[in-house]
Amino acid sequence: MRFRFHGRGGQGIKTAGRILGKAAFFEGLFAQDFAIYGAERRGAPITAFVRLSDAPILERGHIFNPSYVLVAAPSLLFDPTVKTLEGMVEGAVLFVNSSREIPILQPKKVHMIFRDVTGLALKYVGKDILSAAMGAVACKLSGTISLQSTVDSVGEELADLGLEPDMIEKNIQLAKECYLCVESVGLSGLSYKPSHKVVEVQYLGEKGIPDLLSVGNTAFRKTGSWRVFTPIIDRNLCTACGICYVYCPESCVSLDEQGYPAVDYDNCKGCLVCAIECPRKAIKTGRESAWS
Amino acid sequence: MSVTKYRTIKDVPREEFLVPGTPLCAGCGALLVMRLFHKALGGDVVWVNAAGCITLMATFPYTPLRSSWFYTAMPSAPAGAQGIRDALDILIKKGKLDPSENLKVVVITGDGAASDIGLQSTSGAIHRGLDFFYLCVDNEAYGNTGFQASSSSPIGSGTATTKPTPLYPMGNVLPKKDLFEIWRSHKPPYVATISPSHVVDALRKVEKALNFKGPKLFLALCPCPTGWGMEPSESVKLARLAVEAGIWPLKEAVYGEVTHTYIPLKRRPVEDYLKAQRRFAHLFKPVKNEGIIAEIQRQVDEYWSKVER
Repeated sequence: MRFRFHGRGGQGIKTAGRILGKAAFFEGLFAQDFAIYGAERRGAPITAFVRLSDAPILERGHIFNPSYVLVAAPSLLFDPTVKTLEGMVEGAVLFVNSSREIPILQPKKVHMIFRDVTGLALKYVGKDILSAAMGAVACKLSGTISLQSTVDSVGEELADLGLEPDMIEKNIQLAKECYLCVESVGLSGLSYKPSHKVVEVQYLGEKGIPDLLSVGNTAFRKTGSWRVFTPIIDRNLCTACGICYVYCPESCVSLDEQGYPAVDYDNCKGCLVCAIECPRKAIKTGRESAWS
Repeated sequence: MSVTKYRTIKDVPREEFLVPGTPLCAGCGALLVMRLFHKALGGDVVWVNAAGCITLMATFPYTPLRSSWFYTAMPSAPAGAQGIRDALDILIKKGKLDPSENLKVVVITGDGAASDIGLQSTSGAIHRGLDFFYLCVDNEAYGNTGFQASSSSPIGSGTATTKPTPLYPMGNVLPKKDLFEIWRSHKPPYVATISPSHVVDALRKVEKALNFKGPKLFLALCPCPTGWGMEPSESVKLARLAVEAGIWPLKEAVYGEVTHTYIPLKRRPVEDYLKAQRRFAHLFKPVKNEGIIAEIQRQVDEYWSKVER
């Protein structure tokens, strides 16, 4: 079984992979788990890979033909550089952390599951960190890992990271809930071809031309998809003091002629410094939901 | 002091030189400092960047800057600045570059490059009297590679390489290197500390430094949500707390003469600052380490007892 997790730095995707690998190990399987992240960090796309087998695993390297793909941040589905669906074959399983179904153009028949595990994480842990949640979902989907092994693995992995016992307990509750929220999906007759893959460098048309004379081109990256919480300015309370404009690290707040602020939602990462600093508390925060 | 154009927060220049969409972490204090610093300097700037977190800002082929950017290895940013400064001077002297197109040369480094790896080349540049700005974004560790301790990490902080252990329950046992004093001992024209929370203070200092020719240092305390272990939304709040607790004094030195630009009348206890961050969590749990907290408070009190009001 080959698993590929897609998420954003800070969501706990690497740990999710470790939880799955260790849980499988407890079940007596052979396991390989590893992650890849580039130079960018919190909020940037990262990928974790897990291979499980009842025989020693001789395969190495990236997983280009996953039987399971788990996507923790639905916005990644629309990021052409991440290639979330790459290499999925007919009969493979796609899990997306989303409260509603997202139409995905996929020619092959893929088993799609949508669940809002961020909502569960906020409920149980109070944070949008998904290591236990995504790990538990993967354990269940595999159909070979028991709830007990999942819980043991979550406990051990999070203890290794130095979490407080009460936090670990909350995460175990979260893992149990997530384990129950999906059904196992058996894999039958998945055909694999050995992959001799050349990694293609993807160019984004004119925007990606390596011309460093085109200054200020990061705005095309639209880092707004990193966001979990969104700042919303209440014009009735706002006094146009400009504090949010001054303290936005990303230059995402601009002021109009009367001095009232507007947020660049295409690029706002949702750090919410503006909401904390606003002296009138005129900036509300809401969970990001609109992905289209 | 001459009349300043920065009186309130309303006077922050509106022109943006850094566009959104950088790959840096949400709530990055260093990015906020750089943005405000750039506003005060104006657009005619070439940044000379030693490897560090800020390097990630411009990952090929993208750049958020509307100004120029030059990337160097960790130890050699001041050497790079010297090369650019010389080239500009020579081109102007030969009449190949109009003096109106002259650029300010600004080195931007993290605390690792500033106080460990790049210290000798920095010292050399100050000694030679190179005309440049030097902005050190100090997040008190090697944040880019996983938050390992640097010589700028404060006593008692937990980093990837100074984790609290039974033998060293307080984490980092070494004191924070005083880069302000290291620079000041070279007697450059201008040295200052700034904080992203005290914006008007920072802008005024840049405005003042523009009057001097020679090496000019700006040391900025930059909260790091990932490494310090706090919510990205609290970056500015923590930077302010550091100033209010007296841990990060706001001061400047003109030709070695030190003045404090902001003296907190009633200092907040350092405990408030420490317990807001995961990197100091081991000082409070499982048992509160009264001794080391009192020692940190004592060091802060001792510092301020020598400051004339």
